[in-house]
Amino acid sequence: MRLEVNNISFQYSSERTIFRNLTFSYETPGILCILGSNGTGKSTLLKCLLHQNHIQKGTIRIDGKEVEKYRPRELARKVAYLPQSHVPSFAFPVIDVAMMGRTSRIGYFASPGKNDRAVAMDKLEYLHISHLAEKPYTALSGGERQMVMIASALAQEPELIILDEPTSHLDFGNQFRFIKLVEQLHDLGIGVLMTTHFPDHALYLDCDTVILHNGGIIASGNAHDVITDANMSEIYHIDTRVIQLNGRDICVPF
Amino acid sequence: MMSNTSPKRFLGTAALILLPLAFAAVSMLIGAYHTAPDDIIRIFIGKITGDFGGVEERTVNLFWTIRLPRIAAACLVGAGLSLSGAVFQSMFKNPLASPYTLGVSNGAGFGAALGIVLSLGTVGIQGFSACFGLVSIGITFLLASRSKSGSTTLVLAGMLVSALFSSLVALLKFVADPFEKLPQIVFWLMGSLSGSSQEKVLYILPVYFAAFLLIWLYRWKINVMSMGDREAASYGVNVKFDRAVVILAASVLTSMVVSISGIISWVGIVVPHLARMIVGPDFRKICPVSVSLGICYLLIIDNLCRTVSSSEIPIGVVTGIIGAPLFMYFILKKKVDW
Repeated sequence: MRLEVNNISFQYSSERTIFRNLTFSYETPGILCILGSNGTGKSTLLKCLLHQNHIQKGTIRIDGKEVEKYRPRELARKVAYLPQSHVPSFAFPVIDVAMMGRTSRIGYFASPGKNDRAVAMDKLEYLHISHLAEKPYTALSGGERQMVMIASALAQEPELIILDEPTSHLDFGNQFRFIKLVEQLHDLGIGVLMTTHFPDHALYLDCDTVILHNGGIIASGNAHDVITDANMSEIYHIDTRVIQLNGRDICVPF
Repeated sequence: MMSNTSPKRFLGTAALILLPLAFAAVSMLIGAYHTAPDDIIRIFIGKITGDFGGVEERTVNLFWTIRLPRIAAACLVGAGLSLSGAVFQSMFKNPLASPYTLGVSNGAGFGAALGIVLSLGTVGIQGFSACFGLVSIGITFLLASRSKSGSTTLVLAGMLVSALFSSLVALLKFVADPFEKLPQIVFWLMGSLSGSSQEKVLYILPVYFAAFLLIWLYRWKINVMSMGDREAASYGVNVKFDRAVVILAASVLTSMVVSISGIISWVGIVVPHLARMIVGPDFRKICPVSVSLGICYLLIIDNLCRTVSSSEIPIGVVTGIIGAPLFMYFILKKKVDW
């Protein structure tokens, strides 16, 4: 799947432009990280890619077709999206939440059947959380809940998963495990496009990286080329250095 | 569908179907005019064969024109209010949401009051009530469609429309003839099944079942939408459109019900909660359980209304007196867990 973002601009109101003239492209099963400080419009950009926000200028094409021309079901079969931390309202069993990913794959008025249940169960097993299947979703920890949401995204059988700051609510260990998972998905042939607050994650993944700042892209390319002392210091407004430790690049504030 | 296709599940399904049937059968025996069980069987046989086996014609007529329509009305009202309440609770993710949240009841009440003031007769009153119920839904959706922010705006718009029609009802009460019309209006607003007739029930059936079917078709998507707008959208649900259809169907269902029964309170809150307590949040299960329990609940209460005292007690009063403490119990026992 190919995603082409061409010269797009978005504003909530005439006084508040979030970003203008962004251009980049991406192809599955690559990994793309979007870095930027709080409030630069990373989440807004993701919602534009999914047509949940409507851009005022430019075009977003998925496989050559404008994103606004996709029917919601059709788009959901190509792209799964996990919003920032999800606040659950009802105590659905985990397996049901995972099955929700099947919604775009079954008939418009259908309810998921045996086969869909098997697919969902399969995804829970893949993520090593099948023992949670009958537990209420509301009783899980934040980390487990996120795994369930990933399972339901995988049950969509998408070509690309878009993640909005997937690691920001996870503990130190879970963050790293999550980044490992992103690598695994990539190896399975599923693309991952994510926003993150941690330059180290992009460095570890050695992936394409786009840096958003002041409503524009100030750098894009391989993580090791764009995550530099100067760029990081500029976007986070603190003195930051990229140093080497046992052959790996890490980004450290001073 | 579930992995535990156990005897327990089979028994549950059987109870869901048999319980309302049993209650309906018992209700046929209850009433001011005594009818023996074997007479009822003869009446049903007679309807097909033409031979009533010696049952008095008066009894037969009474059964077909008064008692059966009333039982049918109780079933339709109980099922309709419970189902639509369950929809509203899931869609608004709010334990206090009820079939009347969007102001359908006041719109329908205004229609009925207007019909009474204009001396339209029962069918006219029912028609006016149904129409104004639908009009109030229309205004609510029109107001809400101007905004992007979804269900909160819809509830707010519903409250506004509800307040407007409630004032108009007050105005009609004020101008209505205090000896003849006013008691009629008050009685209608309290809710009652005493005026049920074959026509009243038959008129609402097509729209009623259309709305009912639509909600059933959406049973899975209601689950998905109850996860949140953004989540549902990422699962490929056209949230704006599908939510509007579901809420519209539930509102239309309510306004059909209100047009035959008046405003019966609390059924649409208490019964869905009870269903949720028993089967959990899955709407595919809440839907049949709510319908079944709603029918039983309303049949029991209507039987009480018909028999406890020599004159009818308005059913809306009884459902309130029973429903409010029941709801309090759910809250104190933490059974209402959101």
